[in-house]
Amino acid sequence: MHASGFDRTRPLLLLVMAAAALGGFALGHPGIVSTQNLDSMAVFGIEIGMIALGQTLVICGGDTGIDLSVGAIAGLAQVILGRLLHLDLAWPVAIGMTLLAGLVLGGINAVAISWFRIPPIIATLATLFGYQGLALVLTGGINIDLTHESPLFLAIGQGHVLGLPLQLVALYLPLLAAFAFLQHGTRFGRALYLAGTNDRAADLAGLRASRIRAATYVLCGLVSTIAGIVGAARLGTARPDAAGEANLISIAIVVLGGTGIFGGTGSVIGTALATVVIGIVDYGLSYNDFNPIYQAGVIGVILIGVILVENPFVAWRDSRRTNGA
Amino acid sequence: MAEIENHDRRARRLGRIGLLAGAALLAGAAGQARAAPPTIAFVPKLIGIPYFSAMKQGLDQAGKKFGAHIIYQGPTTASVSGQAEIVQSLINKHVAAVGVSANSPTALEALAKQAKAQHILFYSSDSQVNGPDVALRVQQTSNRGLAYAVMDQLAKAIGGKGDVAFVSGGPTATNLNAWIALMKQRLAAKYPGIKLVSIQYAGEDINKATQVTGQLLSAYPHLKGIVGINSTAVPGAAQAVLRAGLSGKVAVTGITDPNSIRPFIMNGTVKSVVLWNPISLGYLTGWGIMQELQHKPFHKENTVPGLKQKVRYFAKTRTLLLGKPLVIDKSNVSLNF
Repeated sequence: MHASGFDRTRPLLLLVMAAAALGGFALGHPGIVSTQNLDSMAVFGIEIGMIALGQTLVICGGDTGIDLSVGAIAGLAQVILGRLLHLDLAWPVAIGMTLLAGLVLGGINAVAISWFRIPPIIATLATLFGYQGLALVLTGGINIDLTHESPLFLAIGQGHVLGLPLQLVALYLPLLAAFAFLQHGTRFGRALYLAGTNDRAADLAGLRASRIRAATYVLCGLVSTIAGIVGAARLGTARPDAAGEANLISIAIVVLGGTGIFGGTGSVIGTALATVVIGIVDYGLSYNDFNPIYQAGVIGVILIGVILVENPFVAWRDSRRTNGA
Repeated sequence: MAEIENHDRRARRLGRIGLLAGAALLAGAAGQARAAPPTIAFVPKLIGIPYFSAMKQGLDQAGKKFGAHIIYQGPTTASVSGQAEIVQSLINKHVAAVGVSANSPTALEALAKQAKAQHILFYSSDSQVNGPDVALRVQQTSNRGLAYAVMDQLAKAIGGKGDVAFVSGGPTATNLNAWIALMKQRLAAKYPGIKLVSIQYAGEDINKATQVTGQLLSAYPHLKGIVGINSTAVPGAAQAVLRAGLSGKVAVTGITDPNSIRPFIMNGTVKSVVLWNPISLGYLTGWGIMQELQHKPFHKENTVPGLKQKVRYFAKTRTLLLGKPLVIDKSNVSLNF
């Protein structure tokens, strides 16, 4: 294993899976490998992919770190944005204020967990309900219509740059690069791995583990907010229930991407590859009229399957290493 | 040592089997061929509930009769994003027509535009999409027709006078509030002897509706009738009336489906409820799209082969209106939706 907790096995396995899934779908329906379809896969995968980046850092920080409120933050952020836009604020101003709100929402999680020492699963479960409720109150349960907002705003979710979705080129990839650098190239990243691996050791080394973790919740709130904004621009609509499924799927993606659920291992690179796998499978199943009732089950099968395939492989590799030494 | 190796091998084999099964699953799902008749896709709010299964039944009948291949595909929860993803995949597949029962009136406008640009007919049925790119809307019944029919059933059940209460779903639900306003209007105009004493809200929750109705029954001992405004309120209210031993003394009616209310109609607590027929709605949708695809214009009043009633068309909003609501009583409660 790499010093920073990066392990190559899972990313390779995910690449193989992504290729196999795309190949499998193409066998039955060759039309799926078209720019239009790949474009759609990217568009639908990006929002959950962004959220999963934040979730990776949270889980990586250890101490049972998890953020169950990501979907609720995305929904609430979307609703806040919608209300601000309906106040006739210029859209960049409204987005700026929404991003600030996102930092606050993540900050509330951070304070609850790092300051008041509430276990993350309880703290974020509480904020999940709180944020969801607040979003409902702000909308009165009604859909906020954003289809008549500035085309420039709508382009955030519907535009294209050099034939690629704008949100991929201008938002997701830069975010991924920034998170990868943060995790693997900075002191903060190394401190995060140490905090995730051994809380006490980190403290004794003069690192404030709880502060490092607090920062991950704030970042997670921020990317969830960005995902909410992109979703609102894509659909021209803000809804309190916009990203409800993101709460759990983001965790599934992080785990599939090779981040240990107990912290201290994993990488946003793995998370990004897992997003690609889930994106292909999700879209491919819809494209082939696969009964959606079973689609959630397929994600479960993949999650278990990857571990079943990986365990013997890792065991074999380790035994060869010890034998070789 | 041998044992460990054995275990290892088995684990590896299991992994392989899993992978093969997964690949087979994907390949199997992928085996679909394009058929010669036009493909009409319908994306309901969510799948797996009897209401939309009934709409599918009607669509399938129309598909068989008028020669279309029907795709029925939707999200498992009433999710806007899930619906958008499925609609997008259907557009990318270049079906002849794609439509929805929309989870949001605005969130699919961009996709409707995209469909139109690719010469795919975009329609909405049951719950509509706004905007100029929707080629056809199919509406079950007018709000007015539905609300008035419920008040007529109520008046019939309580003999035209007495105190009544409403149990609704969410206090902010647009459609429910529109119905309540129209019901009040009907009472004021036609049944001055009926007095609405209270409106309570129980969400989409049968148990809550039972609880709320129980409270109404004790707060207003002279209550003659209870109207459930949404599909869970009616069976919930009927349960409370039955439990209080007031079957036959306090009338229960409202807007709900036969599956929810069947036991209460069979035991006499409820005489009749009102809804539209989702099978006919699906059928009419299928017919309407085929007309559009064959470029046959609609008239103000249309005769649809296989439907008894005449169907009106409103050119301004491109809307087909199924027509009068369906009164469900002992004679037709066996309808499955």
